Amino acid sequence: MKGETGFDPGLYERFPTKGPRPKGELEALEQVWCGPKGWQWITAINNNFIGVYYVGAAMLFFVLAGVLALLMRTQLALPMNGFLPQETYNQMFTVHGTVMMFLFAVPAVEALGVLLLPQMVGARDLPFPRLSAYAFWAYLIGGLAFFCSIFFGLAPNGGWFMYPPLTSTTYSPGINADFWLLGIGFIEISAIAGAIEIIVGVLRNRAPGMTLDKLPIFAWAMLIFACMIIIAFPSIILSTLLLEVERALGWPFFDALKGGDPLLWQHLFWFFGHPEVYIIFLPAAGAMSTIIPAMARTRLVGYRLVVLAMLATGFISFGVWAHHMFTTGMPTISTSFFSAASMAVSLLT
Amino acid sequence: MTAPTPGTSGWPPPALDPAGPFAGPLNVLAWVLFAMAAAVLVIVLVALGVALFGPRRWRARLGGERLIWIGGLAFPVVVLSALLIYGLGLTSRLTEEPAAGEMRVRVTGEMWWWRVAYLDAHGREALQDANELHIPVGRPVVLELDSADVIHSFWVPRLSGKVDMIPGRRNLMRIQADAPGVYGGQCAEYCGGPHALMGFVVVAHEPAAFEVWRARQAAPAPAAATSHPGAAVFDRAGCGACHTVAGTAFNGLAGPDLSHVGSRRTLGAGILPNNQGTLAGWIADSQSIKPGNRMPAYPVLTGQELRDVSAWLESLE
Amino acid sequence: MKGRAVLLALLTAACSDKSGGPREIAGADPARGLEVARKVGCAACHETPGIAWPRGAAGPSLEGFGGRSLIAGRFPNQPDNLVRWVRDAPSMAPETGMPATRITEAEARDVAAWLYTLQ
Repeated sequence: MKGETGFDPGLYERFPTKGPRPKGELEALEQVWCGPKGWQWITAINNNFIGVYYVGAAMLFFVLAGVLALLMRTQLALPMNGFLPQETYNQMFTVHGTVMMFLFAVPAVEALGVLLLPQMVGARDLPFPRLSAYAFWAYLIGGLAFFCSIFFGLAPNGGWFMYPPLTSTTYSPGINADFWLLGIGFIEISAIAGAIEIIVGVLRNRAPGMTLDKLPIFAWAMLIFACMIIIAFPSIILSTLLLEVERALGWPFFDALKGGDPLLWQHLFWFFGHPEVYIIFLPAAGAMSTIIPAMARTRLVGYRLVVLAMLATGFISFGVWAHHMFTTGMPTISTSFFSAASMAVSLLT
Repeated sequence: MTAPTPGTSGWPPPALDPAGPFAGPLNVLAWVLFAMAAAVLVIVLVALGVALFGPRRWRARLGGERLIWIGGLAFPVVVLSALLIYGLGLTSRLTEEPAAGEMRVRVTGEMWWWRVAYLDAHGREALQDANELHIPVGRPVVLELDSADVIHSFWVPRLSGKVDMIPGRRNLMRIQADAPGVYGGQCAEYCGGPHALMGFVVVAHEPAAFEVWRARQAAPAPAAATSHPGAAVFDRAGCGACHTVAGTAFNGLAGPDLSHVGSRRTLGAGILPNNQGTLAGWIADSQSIKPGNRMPAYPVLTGQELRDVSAWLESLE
Repeated sequence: MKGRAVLLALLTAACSDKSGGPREIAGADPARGLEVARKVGCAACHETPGIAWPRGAAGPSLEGFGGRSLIAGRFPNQPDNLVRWVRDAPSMAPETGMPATRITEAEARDVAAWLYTLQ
């Protein structure tokens, strides 16, 4: 009997083979398939290793930003506490937010995908292993460089969403904000590289017979996650590019006096920023939907509904960004629309 | 800004203690949302309890797709639609267009204080003040919110929600106090540096008392034009380069208007009590009180000069 | 031998340490004194133990004030001097930068009592 792709499962009857294996086969196989030895671990590109490094780096950033959070909490424990000087506190909360959102949350779930997805869909590795290795190392080194700016007092201090005009040259004259802009710009490019791999991997590298309606729910979540990254992250790359050009070359994108508008940053940032939180949430939801049925030893209830909900969430999440801007003085019709859309997306979540 | 008043419990927090019709609906909505969320929590917990301990038939029903359709789609659609319509209706008054003839005040956010200008009937700035807003009780007051530098946000929790002050835009909002009193406010959008020390005060008067206040504010302070030694210190130290005192030659615009600084309830944008001592302390070294603020310290004034200028400023009521 | 020891003990008893313990002000409440200091805003000029902010730098820190022997470097740190100083410093030292606080006598005694607890 042949499977729907033409594969004959009867061929499996050959295994396990009886009779002795050829001499030296085991050693040759071990030599080919062994993991990196010694310093080779730096050049490893297999997703199992890169995935572990990736998760490890994300957890490292979690701890680093967590230490900043503890310092902030100490400062906030008593009214008008003098534990941290004003400028240090401003830098700390900016770096904490930035590291948590850009260097921990998205990389952590992306790392989960890098580590688990290929095996889950029956592929040997991600489609572009060297690209994922490059993305990881760029992320680790860039992220550490960004974090270390706090030790030199050069960390950005404009809040994690860095609204201009506070972050324009006039009110942030040093290079602090530029660390943020350049760092985040490149980190997001690295994230987009990972997202491309996940999309290609899920859509093109599945095992034979795994049609999309048999795709594991986590893989669905990662597919939607990656598509959302590809649409949302260019928005923040654009806004960081515009602000960096404004700071470096004096161009007037966000300067009202020169014809720009501070709200432009807010729209571009939150068009990224809202999908960002769904980007973080969807893989976690996919993981939940995988773990619970496995632990309860039952099938996932409503697989199609869950997939449809995730697709709709991903889609509608691009239409709610202005709920981060309700106090900016938008017309009532706009705020009402975004309120309604936010409720709609909460439904699907 | 200062420590909570001893003897008070701190409850309700100002945001849940509305004192006017532009804050009341927000408070109602907040409690409605809270009650709704609590109800949903109870439903979910009950479902969890049934899933863990309930009889088999009930547990089987919980495991079906029908529950997702009803509990996950139909029920929230109904509840959230009702909430949306209710919320939009409740808060519609907050975003009404201002009527003609309402009192208008232009509040401009600066780093890190508030420029207040009362507009006359033609929209021209008739009265300048800083860090304190006086309004009559029982009437809506239209605020034109603007910013001179970065994005700030005007927030008096007991009187209304937050509205941002964005450079290049003029946002309108209305506040109204239903009872006389003093209402504290705070900048609600991170504006760098001592953003946490950018507070202010709204004082609501009975209408008659408000007119008395306004008349007194419109004229220069009686003590302004006298030959007080403090005025000479103010002159010598160059304070007039940034500050205006009506009735004198000092007409700087970079810093707060000091024409009636002696009658304000706070100093430094809502952060210090206002007396001769704190005035002297602020002038001598405001950087140690509000680090990074735009007024330099004055380690060049002698003790006598410091006392003279702070006495003169305190007399400007 | 024993008589000389007793005489020595009696003589040196007069040289015992007189600086132990805060100076007492009858009927004054140090806790109320701290509240007065907060209300008046002493911390705008003086770094004040018990008040986290502001940490004013126009005047000297009040840390350890209770152990100092001079007020403002010139007047003996005794209760009557301190109460007068806290109420109206310029009347004692015309060139001081510290204005008259215009608090009542009772409040000033509370403040002085609190200052003496700052060791």
